[in-house]
Amino acid sequence: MSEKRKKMEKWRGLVALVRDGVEHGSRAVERIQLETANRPFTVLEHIPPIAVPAKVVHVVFDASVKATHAVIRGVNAVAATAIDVTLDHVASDSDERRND
Amino acid sequence: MGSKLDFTLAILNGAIGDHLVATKNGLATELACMHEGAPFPMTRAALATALPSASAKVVLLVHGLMCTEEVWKLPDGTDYGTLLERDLGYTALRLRYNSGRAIVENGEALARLLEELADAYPVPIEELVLLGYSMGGLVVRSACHVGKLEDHHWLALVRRAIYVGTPHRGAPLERAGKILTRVLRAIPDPYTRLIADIVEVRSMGIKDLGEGICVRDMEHPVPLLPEIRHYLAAGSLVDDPNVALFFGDVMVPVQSATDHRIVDREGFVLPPEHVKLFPHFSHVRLAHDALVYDQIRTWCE
Repeated sequence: MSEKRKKMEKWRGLVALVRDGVEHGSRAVERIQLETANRPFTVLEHIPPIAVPAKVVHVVFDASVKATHAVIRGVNAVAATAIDVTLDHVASDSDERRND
Repeated sequence: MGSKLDFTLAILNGAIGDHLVATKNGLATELACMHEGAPFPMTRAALATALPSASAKVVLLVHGLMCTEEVWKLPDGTDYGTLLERDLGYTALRLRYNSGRAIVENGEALARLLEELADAYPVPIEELVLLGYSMGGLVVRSACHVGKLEDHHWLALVRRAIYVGTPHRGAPLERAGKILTRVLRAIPDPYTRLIADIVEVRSMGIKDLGEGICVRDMEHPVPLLPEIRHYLAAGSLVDDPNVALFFGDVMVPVQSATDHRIVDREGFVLPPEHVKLFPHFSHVRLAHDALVYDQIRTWCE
């Protein structure tokens, strides 16, 4: 494997690592946010006068947290793919220039 | 710049190298012998180019966790390899590997590499010395067992195996990490569980250091091969032998680095001159110090 190709593999590796980090980090933070919020919501849902609205707010809260993190992971995946495509383009450009 | 990048990659590989391999990440370091900062393939041509004056006596330096071969460098730019070349006519090879992989996996890869080396080396090898620092010693120990199990040719060439600060019986810091993870997981709190998850991310290589695991499907401690002369160097930050036994060089207790001196269950005992304790030596200092080199040279004479 040429030196340039190795360097490119390292860049791709770095991109993949950042993508994995954001993906795992987002999942961990999502889990914490859901679990942490679950405790007060569970208490509130046991108080008869506010049980129903608390349940509604709980569902809305969970959905918004999940949606937010899904967006973060989606943007992360798109950005990583875009960088990968750019790296491919740079690599093929430099190969062509070398062949010329 | 290259050296800094290599150092950063060594730390990254040590921390999560098994994940890098599992995800086929380009940042994963491949096990290879290094020449002037670059790996070279085990082919006759590459070896002849890299080693124009190859000697029949070869010493292989195997670094430890989160290091590269730079860890061996003494302040004057030499290392144990160049000094052995100068003083005893060895040819020194320096291994680089992904220290985050399981020690067993690195041992297997090293055994295969040594088999290729024995075949492709420019002159017939008469003597092979394996010098492992810290985790590198366990990789050497593992490779020897693989060589024995798979009947490799190179094993017959190994005269000496020198272990410098090697945690043969495990490293307590890693065991403490395991306990910490268990305690954090037992606490029913999402934040402590998150910390436990982060601690648990550490690589298989680090986890193996806890017990000094170096051979697949065998209960550790596995016996040191009796056909090789084994030498153990240990560091200790204190003078008191009892304290040194348990704290050693902080990373590796003396009793672990010296493999309890009684090194296998079949009663194979190392002669006392094969075990050397270096008082007031930190773990890192063991890899590049003139006094340690003097001892290594004495063992190799």
